[in-house]
Amino acid sequence: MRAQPRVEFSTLKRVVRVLHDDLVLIAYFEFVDYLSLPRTLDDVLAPPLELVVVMSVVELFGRMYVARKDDLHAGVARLVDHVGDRTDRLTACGCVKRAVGVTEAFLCIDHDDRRRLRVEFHTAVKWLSSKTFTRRRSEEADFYAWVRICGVKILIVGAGQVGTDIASSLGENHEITVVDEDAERVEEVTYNIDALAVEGDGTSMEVLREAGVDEADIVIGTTDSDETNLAVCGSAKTAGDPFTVGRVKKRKFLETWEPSPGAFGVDLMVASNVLTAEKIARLVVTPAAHDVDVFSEGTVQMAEFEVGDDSPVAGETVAEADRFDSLTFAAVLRNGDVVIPSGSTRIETGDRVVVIGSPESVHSFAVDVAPSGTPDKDADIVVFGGGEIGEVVASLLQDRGFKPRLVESEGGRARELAEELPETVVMESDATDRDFLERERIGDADIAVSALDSDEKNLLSALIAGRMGVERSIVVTENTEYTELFETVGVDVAVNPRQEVAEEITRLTQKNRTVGLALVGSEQAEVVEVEIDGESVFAGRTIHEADGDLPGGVVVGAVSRGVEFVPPRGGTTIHEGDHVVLFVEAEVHDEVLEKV
Amino acid sequence: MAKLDWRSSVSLVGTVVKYLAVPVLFPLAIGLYYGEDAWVFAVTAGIALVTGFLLERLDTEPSLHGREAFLMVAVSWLAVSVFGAFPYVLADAGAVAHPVNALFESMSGFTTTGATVMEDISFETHSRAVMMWRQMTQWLGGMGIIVLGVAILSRLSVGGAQLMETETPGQGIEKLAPSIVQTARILWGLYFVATAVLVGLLYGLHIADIADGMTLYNAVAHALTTMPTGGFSPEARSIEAFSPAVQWTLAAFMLVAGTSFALIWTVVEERDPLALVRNGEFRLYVGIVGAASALGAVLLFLGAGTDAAVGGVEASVRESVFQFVSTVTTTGYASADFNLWGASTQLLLFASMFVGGMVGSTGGGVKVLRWKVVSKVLRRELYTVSHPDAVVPLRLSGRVLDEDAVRSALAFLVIYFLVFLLGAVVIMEDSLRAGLSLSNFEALSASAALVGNIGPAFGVVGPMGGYGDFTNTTKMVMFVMMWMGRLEILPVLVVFTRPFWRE
Amino acid sequence: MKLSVDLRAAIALVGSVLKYLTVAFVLPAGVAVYYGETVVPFVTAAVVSFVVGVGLETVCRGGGDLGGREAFLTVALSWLGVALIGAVPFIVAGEGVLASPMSAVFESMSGITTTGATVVESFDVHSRSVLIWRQLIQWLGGLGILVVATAILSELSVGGAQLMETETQTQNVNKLTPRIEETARIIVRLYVALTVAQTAFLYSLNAVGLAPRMTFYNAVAHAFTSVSTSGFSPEPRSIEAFAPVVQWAMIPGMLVGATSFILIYYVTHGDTARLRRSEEFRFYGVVLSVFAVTATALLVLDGAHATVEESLRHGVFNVVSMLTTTGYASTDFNAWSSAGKHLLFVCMFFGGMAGSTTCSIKMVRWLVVAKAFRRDLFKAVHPDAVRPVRLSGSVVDEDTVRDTYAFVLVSLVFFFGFTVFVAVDSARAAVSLDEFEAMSAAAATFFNIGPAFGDAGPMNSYAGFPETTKLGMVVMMWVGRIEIIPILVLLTPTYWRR
Repeated sequence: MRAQPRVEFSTLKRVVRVLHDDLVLIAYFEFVDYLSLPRTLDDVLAPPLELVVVMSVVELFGRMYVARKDDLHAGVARLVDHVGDRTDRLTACGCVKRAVGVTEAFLCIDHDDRRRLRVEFHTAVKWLSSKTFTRRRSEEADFYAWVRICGVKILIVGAGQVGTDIASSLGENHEITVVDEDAERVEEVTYNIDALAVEGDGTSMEVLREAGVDEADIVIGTTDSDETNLAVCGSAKTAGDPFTVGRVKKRKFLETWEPSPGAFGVDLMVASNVLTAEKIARLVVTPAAHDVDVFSEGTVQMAEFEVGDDSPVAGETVAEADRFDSLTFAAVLRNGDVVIPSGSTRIETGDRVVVIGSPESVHSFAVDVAPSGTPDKDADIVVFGGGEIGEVVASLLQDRGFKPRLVESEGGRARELAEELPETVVMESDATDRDFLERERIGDADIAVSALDSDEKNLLSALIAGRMGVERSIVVTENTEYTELFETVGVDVAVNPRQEVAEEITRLTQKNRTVGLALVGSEQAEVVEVEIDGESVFAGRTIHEADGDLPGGVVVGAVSRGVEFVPPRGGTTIHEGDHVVLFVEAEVHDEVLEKV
Repeated sequence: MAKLDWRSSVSLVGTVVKYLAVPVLFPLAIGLYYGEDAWVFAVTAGIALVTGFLLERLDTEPSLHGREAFLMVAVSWLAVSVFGAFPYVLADAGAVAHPVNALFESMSGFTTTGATVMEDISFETHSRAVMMWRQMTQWLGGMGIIVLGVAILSRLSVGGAQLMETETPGQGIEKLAPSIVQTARILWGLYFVATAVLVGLLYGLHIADIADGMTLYNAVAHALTTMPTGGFSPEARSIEAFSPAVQWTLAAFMLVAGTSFALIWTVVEERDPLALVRNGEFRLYVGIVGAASALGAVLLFLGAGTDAAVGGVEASVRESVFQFVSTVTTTGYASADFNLWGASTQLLLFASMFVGGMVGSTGGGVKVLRWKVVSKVLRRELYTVSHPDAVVPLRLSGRVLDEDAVRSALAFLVIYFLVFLLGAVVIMEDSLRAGLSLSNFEALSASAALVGNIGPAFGVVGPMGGYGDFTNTTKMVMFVMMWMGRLEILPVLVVFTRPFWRE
Repeated sequence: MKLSVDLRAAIALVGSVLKYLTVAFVLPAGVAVYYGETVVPFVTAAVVSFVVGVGLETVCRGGGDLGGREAFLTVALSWLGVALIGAVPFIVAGEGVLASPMSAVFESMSGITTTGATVVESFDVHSRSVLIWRQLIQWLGGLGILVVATAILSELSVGGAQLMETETQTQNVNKLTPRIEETARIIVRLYVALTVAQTAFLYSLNAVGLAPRMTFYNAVAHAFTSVSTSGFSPEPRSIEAFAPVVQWAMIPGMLVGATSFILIYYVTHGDTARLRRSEEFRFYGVVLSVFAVTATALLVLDGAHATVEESLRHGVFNVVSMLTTTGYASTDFNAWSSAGKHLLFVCMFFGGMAGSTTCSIKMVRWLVVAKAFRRDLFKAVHPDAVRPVRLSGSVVDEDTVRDTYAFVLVSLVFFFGFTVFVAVDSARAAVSLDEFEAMSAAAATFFNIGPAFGDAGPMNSYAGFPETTKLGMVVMMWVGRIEIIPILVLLTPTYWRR
């Protein structure tokens, strides 16, 4: 059977059904216009898709078919044939192109192989669902588009904003069950959305049973209360073996969960704000940095610096600048393109230098780049906006011994924050109120972090603060397009939650091979952490030897053995099980990963 | 809001009164032992039983809610002191034979004030039994009769928390055990043990022959008034009558009695003495006592010539420490007639009348915690003046204090001062009306001593003097002041507001 | 450490205050010339204040504009500066006790804070000009506090300013911004007008021959200190020296001085409704009459005075004088029965209305405390009831209620602490002083009333206190006058750092 150039979803579903005897075809699309669900495949293809990745069991660890956007139809068609032709057993896998906002994957699941199915199925769900719970409803939408097609039983506890969005985006699907305590909400759901709505406390087993927790494939706790969400996941686990997703606001839960995933019976705990906040905190303590990421449990750090004209590093060659043996100059980003530096490469003003090394060395290099901006313990840091991000940033900072100031305009919330954060000075005022800023001498602050509820406000507050004399401004932008714009109009660093999430997701999806990942510049390159297995080019060889087999555009940034940091020199031999942090240019990325 | 269900309150009061007959047995026994006044207590017990029983009949199924609790507690204390007065009247010896005096003495006993109207404190006038009853009342009042009730009477355990809350307001009761009844039991258990230990110690000293006159009787008697920070003594010269060793011991135990029993419990239970150091209130409490005593000691030592202080370092230190501990913890023992001290030392002592013990101790007065809150409030006020937009919650040892609690702490202090000043004025004017010569300072100190449940004040009402000379009206006023002071004003005032009775 | 207060701006303003103080010396100088006394003290003082003022201005030129924080510093320093310079004439004149710097500063501070506590023992050694300066400085003090209280502190929302605003429903009248001049101008005009009226009234009494001793000089002198509720008098026997009618005549002066000038402003603009609506005003009236009546009753009972008229007059006069923190005495109330003294002592803790020249705790605060406490009682009965505290119809927000409690408490505590200091310090210096004297002296200075009981009584003076105590009193008068907080703030590190 062939897919028509214009494939209705229904058609696609039919395909699914046809294939159903021996396998299910699950298709996943992400859309740029997320607001409504696509009715046709054309809507699906409207956005600039660049890759369609298709994988079968054979290719799972190897080759992949690649089709250009234009012949996506063909791609789809080929897939269908391909799948149709296959006699050998297919199994599932997912893959994502790291360009933010464009993702496709085809997922084929063999019904005969339950165990495998669970595993792969979860892998897929993991990254898809992890996208879901970034605060962007859009991504939820596409997740559920996917879910709809694959026809998974989903149990949503909590018909709040997010909950209802999820449910509604699942429109016609009859396998959705929504549970909520509030009768009115339940009513709304029953009338407005085509989903089964159960009234009751999601933490009680009866209610969950009634809602069919036993058969559910995915259980999502998305009420306003963290505790409830966790309780839901917990009890769901005891009922059946669904993949549980818990949304949390409070950082402490994530802290408990991270070291021991599955804690609270949560398979996936999502708090994109926390990711963002952590990034911001890292940026705050690393002067002049544009991006800081940690690898192998913090033994390795990657940082991207902007070299200002006042920076002593400007004009030096890499060899001169490289004063720390545990530091590697991975790349220099010069007006948009990536330069892999040699010892003689001269660092110019306006360059962005990417270094990889031990946290200490990275920090001391940071001090080299911007001697002035190094924050000490009594540095004056102002955080605008007491939202979740603001709160977490403040608490992270006070954990590191700073005494940040937090500005929140809403009285009740301010009080709440003040109670939560003993070491933080909480001010109740509008972040753009001139008198207030004057009175509190905000101008004297060293760093201003803007985490208000809209990008525009953030920009404004950052600019005002800058005008008043704040040395460095870090701004949160929800909108990817703004990131660079902001940095051009005078914001020092713009942090984008979505990118944080994208990185997180990729980490999740690349399974055993890639452990960590970070994007550099506007995705021209990335830094990946790879655990070396038997087949890797590195296995048992020195970096020098391995380099030969690798294309250009790759730099071995660091090697970590267990918890210890191994400065990568030509002669360093890499053993199996080591983690290697690589700087890879986008174009050679796939090839490299394959070899490594 | 339903109408006030006074019946259940009163019937519960009945229960309390009924069981008051039990402690009366103790002096009864003593009476029998010394062959004096035994019948007095028999009668008292009888009356208590009957009345209590009758009152109970008012409501067989009493149910307590906020208002009833207020009423119940307020009335219980009244009732108890009324019945506590019977033995004095019946015994018909000395000044306390007069009903008003008897009431005063009894209230002063139960509220652990320790202000006496007895002119001649000696076994010639008063029988040992009556004297022991006098001590006993303080012991009962110390940890709170209601708490006791909750601890042992199932009938009271219903609204227990509410009741204890009302009896010891302030920062609220700390639950030491899952159930309020257990909590009450723990408190009384501790209290009992501490008392027993003190008896042992004192008598031990006597046996060791360094506590002349501290007979078993006296040991018991003083233990009974030390732990509740009461201050009655069957000795005319209060503690002055005893040896330094005794004085030091008592000072130590007064200090303990002024400490939060909840805190002591944690220390005992978790074998963790550092809990004391960690507790901010305790630090402040000890700090204040230490500073005051030190200053006092210096003043006494310097003023040795003019002041009563027997010169010599030990004496000055001992007298100062003992007196300041006794005053700060609102006990009211005296190891010397501080009337003879220099003006400045007396003023210092007067000032220390406003400190009070820790919340959750048997001490009365303002209580250290409130001062801590006040100081924090002040600091915040100043902070917010230079940072008008800052939001600063108050923290007590890490825990956030909600603004209502803060406000009510301030309110209490202000009201406390007003009641104190008003009381002083009334005492003053009424005495003058009756042609008693009374200096302003005497009036002030008397007022402070009564509202703070301390006992002896300065001048005529000094440690070796008494409240006997005041007119009966004044005494009744004082009666009320002690009552208010013990229940921390609000519960009493509430009973006198219109909304309390209206529906 | 970055200094977060614009010192330059603050000090520069103090400078200009001192500069303008120069003008004030014209009057005493004039008096001196008129009576043919030496003008040297005032000329020197004028020169000093001008030089210092201009000096400070020039040194601290180029400060930013005056923000909230600077205002505290300015206010505190202005009072201090004026007090110091105000002492110069006394020292230079070198007459009697005032020759000693300490005493001079005490007198001057007591003046500028409208306290009225004096160290002068024999008045006849002092030249008229010096005495008029003593009166004038109080008048200035009253004016200063009015402007500061209504225009500046209200902006910083301390010193019961929110209360005053809620009370008079004039959140708009007093603002720091451009309106500050306007407000100030209104107040000044009002103040001057009242003073003139009072002078005229008093002098007219003399003119019609009812008050022989109330010469024009005296009229002016007493108008100065009655409207500013401060209580200095060039007469050794204070107001006792004057005819009964004069004593009666003084009472309204003090009462007006103790009324909120914002209210007076409205009344003069024919808006008497406000007066009736103002709960504080009613409360003020009630308290006043209760005390007055009691005092009279006591005096009659004690038979301290010959006629009932006398009892009434002295009762009312002294109660008013104490309650309004003026500190005149129509008779030596030291001679009163202890009960009477007690009553007057209690009066010391009240003070007049917010936004007046009075000091002490102020009526409005007591009113709020009372209301809040009644609310607390109500809440004890109905724990779930929600009941905001209202003042003249408008709601007082909880923070303000709390601050009020705090303020009352702090002043009481300060008072007690200071009492102990006075007593202990005097004892140290072997000055015999009974506790009540100590208390009253402490209250009289801290609450800016003036005469106390015993040695510091209305007909005696503070000269007897040891120097250290005097110094303590100088400080406390200062602290008490600007209502504690603005001074305490200066002692907190957060004020200076961010």
